[in-house]
Amino acid sequence: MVSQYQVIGNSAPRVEGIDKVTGKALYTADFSPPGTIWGKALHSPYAHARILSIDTTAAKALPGVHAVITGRDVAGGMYGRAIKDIPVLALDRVRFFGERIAAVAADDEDIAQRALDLIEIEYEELPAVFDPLEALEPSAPVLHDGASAYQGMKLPEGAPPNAYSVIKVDRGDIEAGFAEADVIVENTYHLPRVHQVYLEPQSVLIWLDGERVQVWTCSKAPYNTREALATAAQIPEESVVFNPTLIGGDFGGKATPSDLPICYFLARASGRPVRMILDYTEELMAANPRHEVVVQLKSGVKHDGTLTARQVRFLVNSGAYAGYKPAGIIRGSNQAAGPYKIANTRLEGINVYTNTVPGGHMRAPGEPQAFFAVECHTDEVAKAIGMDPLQFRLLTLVEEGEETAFGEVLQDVLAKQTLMAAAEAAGYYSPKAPNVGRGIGIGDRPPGGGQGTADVTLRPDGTVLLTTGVFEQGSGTYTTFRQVISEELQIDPERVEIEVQNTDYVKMDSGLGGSRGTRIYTTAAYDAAQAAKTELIGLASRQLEWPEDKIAYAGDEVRRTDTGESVRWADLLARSGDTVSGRGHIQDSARPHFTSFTAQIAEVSVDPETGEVKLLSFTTAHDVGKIINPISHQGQINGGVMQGIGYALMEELRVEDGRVTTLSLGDYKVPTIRDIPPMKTVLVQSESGVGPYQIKGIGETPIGPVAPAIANAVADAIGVRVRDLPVTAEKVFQALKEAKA
Amino acid sequence: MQNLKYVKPTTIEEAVSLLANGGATARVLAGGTDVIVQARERKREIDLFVDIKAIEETRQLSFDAATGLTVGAALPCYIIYNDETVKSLYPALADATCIIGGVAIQGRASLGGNLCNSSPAADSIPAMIVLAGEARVAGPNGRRSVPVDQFCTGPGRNVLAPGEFVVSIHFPAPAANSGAAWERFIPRNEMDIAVANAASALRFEGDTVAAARVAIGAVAPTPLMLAAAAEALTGRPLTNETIAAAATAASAAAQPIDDMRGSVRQRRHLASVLVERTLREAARRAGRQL
Repeated sequence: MVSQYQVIGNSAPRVEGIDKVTGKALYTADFSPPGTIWGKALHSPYAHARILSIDTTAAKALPGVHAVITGRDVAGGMYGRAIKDIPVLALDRVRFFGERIAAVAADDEDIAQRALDLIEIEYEELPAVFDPLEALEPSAPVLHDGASAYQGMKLPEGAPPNAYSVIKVDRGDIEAGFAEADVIVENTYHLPRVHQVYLEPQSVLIWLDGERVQVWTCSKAPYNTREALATAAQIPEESVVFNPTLIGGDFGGKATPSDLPICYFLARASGRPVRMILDYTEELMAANPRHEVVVQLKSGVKHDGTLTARQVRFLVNSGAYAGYKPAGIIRGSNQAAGPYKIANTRLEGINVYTNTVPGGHMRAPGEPQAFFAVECHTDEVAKAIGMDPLQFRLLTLVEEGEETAFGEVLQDVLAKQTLMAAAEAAGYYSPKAPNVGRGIGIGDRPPGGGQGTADVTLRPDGTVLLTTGVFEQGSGTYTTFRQVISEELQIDPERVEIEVQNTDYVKMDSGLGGSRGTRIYTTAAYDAAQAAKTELIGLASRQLEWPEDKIAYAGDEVRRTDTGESVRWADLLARSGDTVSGRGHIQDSARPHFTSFTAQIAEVSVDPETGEVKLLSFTTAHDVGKIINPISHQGQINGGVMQGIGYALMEELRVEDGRVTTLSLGDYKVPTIRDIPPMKTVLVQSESGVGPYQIKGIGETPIGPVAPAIANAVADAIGVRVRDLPVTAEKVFQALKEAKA
Repeated sequence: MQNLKYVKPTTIEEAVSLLANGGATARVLAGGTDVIVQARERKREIDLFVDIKAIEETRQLSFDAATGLTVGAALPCYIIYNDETVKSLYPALADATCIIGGVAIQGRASLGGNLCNSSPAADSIPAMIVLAGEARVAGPNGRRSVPVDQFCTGPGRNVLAPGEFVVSIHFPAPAANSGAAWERFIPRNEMDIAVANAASALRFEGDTVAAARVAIGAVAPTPLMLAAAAEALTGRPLTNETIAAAATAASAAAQPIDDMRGSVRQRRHLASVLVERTLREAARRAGRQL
């Protein structure tokens, strides 16, 4: 098929790629206004305690220390994204191991650390609760007595203690559905906390420059983070400027306000620009990891494979605060019933406080948890009725015009096609050696919405400037911009320059996240390009006295359609000494009527003597719209799958008595390249998509079904089921031992 | 990072005197893959690094068919595991050094460093134990030799007295009809700390095991040489039964702890599996078939 596009759909090199590989690219840590000093926070050594006294005398007296602040110096400031429940510094109580209690600004990091060591704090330990199920018990210690007073909090009525959000959805008649079933299968799945493991740790630099609060920080949603900072510091939002900086990896975790308010108060107290950069111990202890979730699933099924009912209880361990979550809660309950035909469903999603590190966003928040539970459960249900897992899915997956378990009717549903494509590519039914197994995972997600702006300026030298407020976190948005402008203005990509504006640019921009980047910003850039062309034609009409409706944009030129006369637009602009610009703005948060399926198949071998799981191959199939930049698209798939492999087999922020024990990247395991098996990608072309190019999102979909595909493959290989991630050798070996006994 | 001084002596005497005068906060620096991290994370108080890499003896790799192999304490792993003599005559040493950290770490990390860091999970120590390695130590009172199996005294602790450092490690020449192997278990495929590791060396006379050395790591406060396992093997032909007996002895000798890297029961179990696997590989390398 000949593409209708010249640039869109061809792999394009990164706009910022050469700067990154040559070390020229600037990240937050590279900015250093004169007089910059280091800030560092003191973290709580208790999971739940009352603070009786804080003595900072010795810390303040240490030479090189410029400021020492505690909860008394931050004007009662509270912060958070949707729910403002986090004190800037703990005032009289700490609720998790790692909570920030005091902070120091000093000449260098070492002095700051030594000053922190000199702060003396008296605590009175309080009973703590770590387990989300226990936190719901009537006897559980209550973390937030005054939760209803928090800005942004809407407490559900009659909810158990610590449950600050309860969502219930009933569809059909659940009891009748279970009554109709031949077999009922009930399982509980447990998903651990994991960290995003971006290379660049959370970093911020704040400089109080006269009237303006100048901020450099690795936030991919700078407008939202600005709001959180302004609210916490009780200053007007307009006084704060977030300056452009590249972001060294995000995976969902780089829009947390975490240290911003502390850094602001340190800058205010010291009168100096203050930089704070977490070390990786702090990252693993007190950043904003993916949530621990307990999923209880109960399904009714007939012998012929008909699912009659499914009940989901999705319990999210929020940690000690809700404020790191952009929406205050993590969903997932709506995904935990799976993309299956089920007439009767009951979904319950609960977010609960515990004395553990607060969770935040990580790539497809809630979904890997939901997909793991429902896709393992699907295999368990299939086993209960003696059906092959692939056949069972083909029988029960939603089709065109059918309602999902959540009651949605989707268009262009490619669930079965995507699954079959994966099965064929993986050789699902080909013979297997002993202790080798294959497992399936499938899931879906539409691209997220939001708002974004882009400006396009045509300049007299023939170059084009694309202006954006996006702070790039590594997913390739600037490159996408360049492709869109190059395509729409029919010019060489090298003639497109990207300019990144600080947050004075527009009132609001959603930034990156939720797989919205391509949806929102290709549309904004496309609209800006069209608007700029219209402006140019207006200018040509005025200058050349050509009728507007007889002028067409044609690459380097504007052409008169009736006479064929043409003028280079660069010359036109040079003559008037002017530029022409167009703006594109999109605000679209609607959930699209289509989704995007990901079907994955893992092949593993299991060593029965140790329980060790070796991943032999991995196949990933995606139902895709128009792909703007294939190399970037494949990068998202590869990266998502690798992160999913870590989640499946090794990653876990282990917590003992509320204390994270995996405090280095030696103990917190992420896969290395040798843990990545040969991978096969299959793309299933969909007719649907959003925006001018009919795209679908790809940032989040690849990660979700990886872990269940691997766990199902382990079960297929040796007949034992691990229901809590990660699937470690020890768990597999113990399950084997129990199965033999 | 702490503020600290750095010196690079060129003779053993100079190094000994610097270490002796430096007291408890003076530390030998070879590749620095452990000590620099410890200094940075303030896990050890260090105010003087004595870099021994300019001392010729610490960089040697010499083999003599009569006396054996001498490996300088500061010689990086990659030179050791790429050496033809090591590969053919001491493959267990190549097994244990080619997986320490990643490629970059292997360009710095040394046997002396791995030994003196004295981690219970040190990768190379069980291999050095079964190869009958001896640490050649220099100190204020002159030279002495310490068998590697007696070197470590606890996590991060060893027999070195103030002012002493390891100059080299010596291994006897391999006997005829002998073989040795090393293995570890880690949760991923590279760059990891052992949940458990093990090494075995066997010498045959005919079909009989004439001598055996078995060692395990990451399952006790120090790497352990297993006399009971050796006893179960020695003086008998190597069979599935004697291997199982040695493996059982390994589980019994292990005194592991529960931590984020592994549980007691998993480590005990892995000790036996790894001992069995290294025995089979050692026998294969000795030219024996089971």
